[in-house]
Formats: sequence, C-alpha cells, structure tokens
Amino acid sequence: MSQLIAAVDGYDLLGYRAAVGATGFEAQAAVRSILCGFGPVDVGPGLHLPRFEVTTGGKGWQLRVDGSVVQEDADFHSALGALEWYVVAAALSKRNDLFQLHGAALCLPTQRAGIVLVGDSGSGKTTLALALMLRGFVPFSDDVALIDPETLELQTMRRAFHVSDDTRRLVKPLTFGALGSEDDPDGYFSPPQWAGQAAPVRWLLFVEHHLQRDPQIVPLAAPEAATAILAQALNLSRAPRLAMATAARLVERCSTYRFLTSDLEASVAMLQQHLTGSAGMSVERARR
Amino acid sequence: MPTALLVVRLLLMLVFALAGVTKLGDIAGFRRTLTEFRLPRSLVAPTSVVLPVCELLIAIALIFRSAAIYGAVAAAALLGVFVIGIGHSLARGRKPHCHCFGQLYSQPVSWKALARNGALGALALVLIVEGWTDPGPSVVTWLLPLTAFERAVVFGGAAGLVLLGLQTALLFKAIRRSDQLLGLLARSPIASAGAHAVQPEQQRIKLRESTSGRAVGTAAPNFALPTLQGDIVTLDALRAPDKPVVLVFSDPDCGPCEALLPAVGEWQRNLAPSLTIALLSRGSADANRIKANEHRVPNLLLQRDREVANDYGILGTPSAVVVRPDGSVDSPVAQGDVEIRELVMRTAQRNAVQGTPQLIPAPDFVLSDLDGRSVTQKRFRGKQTLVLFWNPACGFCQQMLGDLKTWETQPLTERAELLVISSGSAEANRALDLQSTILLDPPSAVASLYGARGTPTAVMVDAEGRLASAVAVGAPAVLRLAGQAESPSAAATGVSKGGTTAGIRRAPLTTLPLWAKPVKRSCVYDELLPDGSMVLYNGCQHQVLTLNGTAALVWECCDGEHDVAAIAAEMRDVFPTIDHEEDVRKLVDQLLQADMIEPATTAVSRSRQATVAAV
Repeated sequence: MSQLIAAVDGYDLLGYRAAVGATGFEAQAAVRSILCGFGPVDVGPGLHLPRFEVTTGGKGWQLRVDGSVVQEDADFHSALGALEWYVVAAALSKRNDLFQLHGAALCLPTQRAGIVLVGDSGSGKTTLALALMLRGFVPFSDDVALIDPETLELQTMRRAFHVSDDTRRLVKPLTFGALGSEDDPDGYFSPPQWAGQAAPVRWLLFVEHHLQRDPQIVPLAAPEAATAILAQALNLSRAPRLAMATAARLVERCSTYRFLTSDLEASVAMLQQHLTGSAGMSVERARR
Repeated sequence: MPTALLVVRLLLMLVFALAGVTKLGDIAGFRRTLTEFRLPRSLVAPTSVVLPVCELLIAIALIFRSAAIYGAVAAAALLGVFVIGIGHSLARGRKPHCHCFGQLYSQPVSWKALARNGALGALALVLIVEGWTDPGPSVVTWLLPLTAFERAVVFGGAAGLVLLGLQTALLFKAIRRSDQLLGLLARSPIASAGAHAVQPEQQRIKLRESTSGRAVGTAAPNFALPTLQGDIVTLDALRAPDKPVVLVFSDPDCGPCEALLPAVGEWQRNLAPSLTIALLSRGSADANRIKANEHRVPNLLLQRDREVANDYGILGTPSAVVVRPDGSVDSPVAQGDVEIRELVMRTAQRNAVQGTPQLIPAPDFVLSDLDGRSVTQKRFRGKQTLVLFWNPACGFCQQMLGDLKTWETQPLTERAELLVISSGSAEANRALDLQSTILLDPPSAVASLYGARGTPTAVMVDAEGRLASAVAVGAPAVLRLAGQAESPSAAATGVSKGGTTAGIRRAPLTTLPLWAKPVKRSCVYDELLPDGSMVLYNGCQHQVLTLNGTAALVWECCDGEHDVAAIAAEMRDVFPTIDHEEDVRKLVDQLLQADMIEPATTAVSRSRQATVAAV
C-alpha cells in the first residue's frame, strides 16, 4: 500500500503543543473529531512541534512519532486509539505538577464541588459518568482526573470519552436518543458541554461493579482510602512526593467511599441522592 | 367437628394472645423488627402498637362463639400479611428477626417461620370454611357443663402454659443478668489493679473455662445488622482480603463495656489498615448513639437483642472474637478489658504490614576451627553454604547426625557446602567425625547474631555471602533446607524430605539480625494520614502499604541509630503496658519483608560504595 503524506493540525494539550494528523480525508476528520476539545495552535515550519501521525503503510496503518514508526495496525480504529494514547500520554508526562488519578471527574451542576469516580478499567466509571451527565452533572475529564495538589481543584481536559458498545447499551435506556453526534468516530463520545471553572474535589468514589446486589455506598477509613488513591495514581512513580502529599490531602479534605454498583439506573439514582442530599440540593434542582 | 373447631380456636387464641402480649412488652424491639422489614418509617411507630393490639383483639374474638368467625377472618388476613412479608424478605436474601413473641422467642426469619405462619393461616382458613355457620361452642359455654375436675384440668393446663411462658421469660432475663455479671467480673479490680503479672492470666483461664465460643477454624456465623444510621451491614461486607475482622460485643448498660469504648473508637480510627473493628451493641439506637458520640466510636452495629452474640457463643460483655478474611473464626472468645486489648493488639501486629522479602549480607564473624585456624564470613564467598548451628551435647543434634553424614557424602557439585558452628569443645566436635569444617563458638555468640536460638538450627548463605533463607529450627527443617540444594541424584539417596531439585531456592528472609539497626530504604516515601496512620510507597518495587498509628511510631524510629531494643524503649514511653521488644521485633521483621527497611550497616556500606564510585 502506498504511503500518503499526512496533513497535521496543531493542538494544545494542557500546555503541551503537538502536531497531529492522518492521511486521507476521513482519517483526518476522525483525528480532528477526537481532539477537537484541545485548542488549535500554529504548526508553522519554524516551530518544530512533536509530530504524531497515522499514515497508510505496513500492515495497513502506521503510527509515526517524529517520523519513526512506533506501531502498526491492520485497522484504522486501532491506529486512531494508539495515536490518541501516545499524544495524551506525552502531554500528561509533562504535567507532573498535577496529581493524575485514573478516573472520571465531574461536578455538580450548580455548585463548585467535584466528584471523581475512580476505579480499575472496566469497573464502570465512564458509564456512571455518562449517566450522571444525563442527569445534569458536568464533566471535567474522563479516564484521567487532573487535580491541583494544593487546592485539590479539578482541571478540565476535553478529551473525548471512550465509549464501548457495552457502555452505549447500558446508557441507552437513560437517553432519549443516540449518545453523541454523527461526527464522533466509533468508540468515542465528545460531550457537548464541559466544566468551565475549576472546582475542588469533594467526593472520591471507588467504583466496583457487583452483580446481583443492591448498590451500596460504604465510607472508607483514611488508610484504605489512601491506598486506593495511590493504587490508581498515574504519576505516582514519576512524582512520588507530590502524589503522596496529594493523596493525604484528598483523604483529609474529601469524603471517600467505596461505591458498589449493580443496576445502572438504581446505582445512579442512589449516587445522585447521596451527592445532592449531602450537598443540600434537591434532585429536581440538579436535573434543571 | 364442633370440638375440633374449638380446639383450633383455642390454639389460635393462645398463639395470638401470647404474640400480642409479648410484643407489647417489647415495643422498642418490635419497632426494630418492623424497620428491618423495610416498613416505611412513618408507619413503624403506629404499627408497633396497633398490630399487637389487633392480635389481642383476635385472641379475645376467638373465645366467643358469636365473634369467632370475625376473629378467624382477621387471623387469616394477618397471617397472610406475615407470610407475604417473610416471603418477600427471604426472596431478597434478607433475614430479619421475626420478633414473633417479643423477647420470649425471636429468630431470624426462615422458611420454617414461613411454613409455621402458613400452617396457622391454613388453620384459620379451615375455621372460616368449616365454622362459617357453626364455629363451635363458646369457650365459656363449653366450660360450664364440665365437672369440677375437668375444669380444674383445663385451668391447670392453661395455668401451666402461662407459667411455662413466664419461666422462659425469667430465664431469659437471668441469662442477660449473668452476662452483665460476667462483664463486671472481667473488669473487676483483680484484672485491672497492680498485680498484672499473674492475676490477669488466672482470670483469663477461669473465664475461658466458662466460655463456649465457636471453635477456631469453624465458619463464623454471618449476620446482617443495622448501623446507627440505618444502613444494613453484613459480616461478608466487613470482610476484606488480608484483613481480619474483630467483633467486639458490647452492651450500653454494662460499665466495663463503656470503659472499653474509647479504646474501640481509637482502634477503629487507627488500626483500619490492618484490621476491621466492628462494635456489636444492643439496646436502643438512641442510647447507643449517645455513647458512640461521647466516645467517638464511628462504627456501631445494633443487635436486636443478643442474637449474634448467641450465634458466636458469647456469654458476657465485653467480649471479642476475631474472624479471618476467609470467614472462619480465628480466636477463642476474649472476655473482659484486658483480654480484648491483648487480642486486638496481637491481631493488629500480625497484620500491620505485608510485603516481599529481600536478601541481606550474612553477619561478620571470626571463629577458630578445630585446628585453631581463623575463619571469617569471607569463606562464604563463591559457594552456597549451609550454616549449621550445633551442640554435641544436644540429643536432637545426635539424632540427625547419621542423616547429616549421609548428606555430606554427596559431591559438592550436588549440594551446598556445610559449615558447622558448634558450641562444644574441640574434642567433642572432633568425635562427630564430620568431614566439613567445624567452627567453635562456645558462647553461641555467632548463633545469636544469625538469629539462631537453640540447636540444631541452620541458615542458608548464598554464593554472594547473603542470607538466603529463614532460620530453620529442628532436625526436619534443617534437613529440608539442606535438601533444597540437592541435584536429582542426591534426592534419590532419600536424605532430604521435600527438597527441590532446582538448586538453592532463596527462601524468604524474615528476621532482622539481632545486631542490626533498621533504617528506611532511600526509595521509600512516607506520608502521615489525618487519623495518625501512615502510608508508605516503595519507589523501587512500586509497592504501597499502610501502617497503623503504632506501627507508624516504630517506622519513625527506623533511623539507622536505634536497634530493636532502643525502639522498644521509645515505644515504652508511649504505651507502658505492652510487651514492646517482641512486638517491635515482629513489626520490624514485617517491614523488612516488605522491603521498606534494611539493616543500617548495609545502607552505610552502600553509601560508602556510592561515594567511592562517585570519586
């Protein structure tokens, strides 16, 4: 297969500037769609930005970083996923001034109070986050929660949500139509609205999926919470002191719970009642 | 038929009368039952009175012929409601206590209870169908024609039944009273005053003799109890991997229990990394809430009465028992303040930290062999060596001498080298007729350095001069350790038992040598948590673990300047009543296994090496 030259656009990911692109109109549109949350920057010839591109070649598609092939995939969807991972990982590796926690971050619609849903991959963080968003909660980020170590404020990262078919199937009954727009490539969802203002973390919920049980919200003792936070800290090895100090601060200032989920609707209703009840806000107000 | 219907009415009448009276006698308990059955909160208070009154009215209606059919209809309806309620709870996996007869009889609902209520309901239905036109004679009318003797028999039987009920109730109260007495005994001056060395042990033995707790290793009974906030917590929910659960049984009316509450609160806050403490109380939620707030006990579960304590064979309060993470009972019942504190501290120490082992250099020594030549630890270099601590006068050593000689006949390519460090005289050791080198260590000073207490004991040292095993104690363990270096051909000789054929396996090093001063590893980061516990992160091995408040104090003392005895002395200032040296040693060993600390000498030599390399 002949290799075409990729057209690249400039993006600003949390201050990390990179040129990202793909060969072919459709591929380029897909890249633009998943990175549309990050601000455009100039990619002029004298800037020498790191370059990430998906080009045709090899097995079918090749991911190149600064011209070197780092991965080959037979299908474009896998190559697109790899491209996004490389770009975001590069951006996050430069931001060790922020505590990075594996989870989805949202805030209550009417208050500056952040919620982070933490958990292993497949535990249902994104599904819960989507369900909460359908009830009026506003997202900061999916997959990685960025937390200021001093103020514990959540930072927005407008990265498209990764939405599997299972997640779509689970969330579908809660929506009145299809999730996302036609511009979203398969497996991605770009929320129409993001949190515009930083908000301190107030709740940390460690999500675990338990079949055939009623949903439960169980408070965590400080040591359990600290261990659970550090187990999901993405930059613990890169910035151990910052991560340890932030974990201790989170334990001190936030409410930490283990959230055992089961049926999505019942789980979300319980969580919403817990959050809005303890925030002194009615469910109806939250919905509005 | 009329007589049969009368008997049915009498039976139903007795059941409903007893149920109504006993429920009215324990309205608070009945309210808890209604809450457990998930009745809306607004209905709990009125239902707790109306329902027993209805039961009494049904019992009265069943006496009279004219009202019996109405009583039967109401009885059938009420029993139908009970069956639906019980069935619904069972179907959802909940087993609240039925409180069928107040404090007289209350068990978790089961299919048996469902069947019992169904059977009574069926009797009521029979009464309705068969007695619609004639429900049998009035009890009063039935009694009138009887002879004096027959009446006496009837009244005597009824009185007997009432007396039986009363006796059961009194027995129940007596058991509760004895609980309180046992609790007082456990807190008596004998246990708490000056003579700590002997009397608590005597008291413990006495109390344990009277205890019929569940056997260690058997399955711990599960339970589902409400918290003060109304959430239901089960034993399964409390259990977590590698974290035992300590169930502390308490009573709001028991003085010794109240004295223990501040400690329970402290344990719940500080020992959470290593164990879960659940306080199981009884009585009203309000009384317990006051005590819990006063003594800062965050997690309190409410028994309806003593149902969980009964399941665990607990006879008095305060008592405690440990449940392993796998759901089995881990300890006999600890009764009284002293025993409970000991049990909790012992369990917490055992579970304070977890981790993986590391290898450290074998301690230095200079000893003479049987010919007077000096030998040092440098001899270990380049060869895997089994260091065997020996005493020619020790019977256990003599018993394994034959096996040892056989093992020694194998070529050195197939086994580890043997180095015997013996405490006897040169002549006595020469008489052993061993081919391997024997070093003389009459005061057993080197044995102490290696943590070897008693003979025969052994430790494996690898080719780089590092301790590669825990200390093996006793002939079988020593031979097993020796067998770990055997080749297949050597294993065929039958000397070793359970040995491996894959060369020396690095068994975990679990003990810090006595001479060593522990120091934190440079790649370990610590952070104090708001509740006094501490979280550690080993950046070399990417391992996170938490220490409770006590272990955190020990951790702070691991500065390379304190040995275990010195750390224990520091701890004694904070906790005067605990056996510190042994506890500190265990904890330090656990930190060593978790690779969080290392012997200070190793650290110093490494830093020197680093300095030399840098120069």
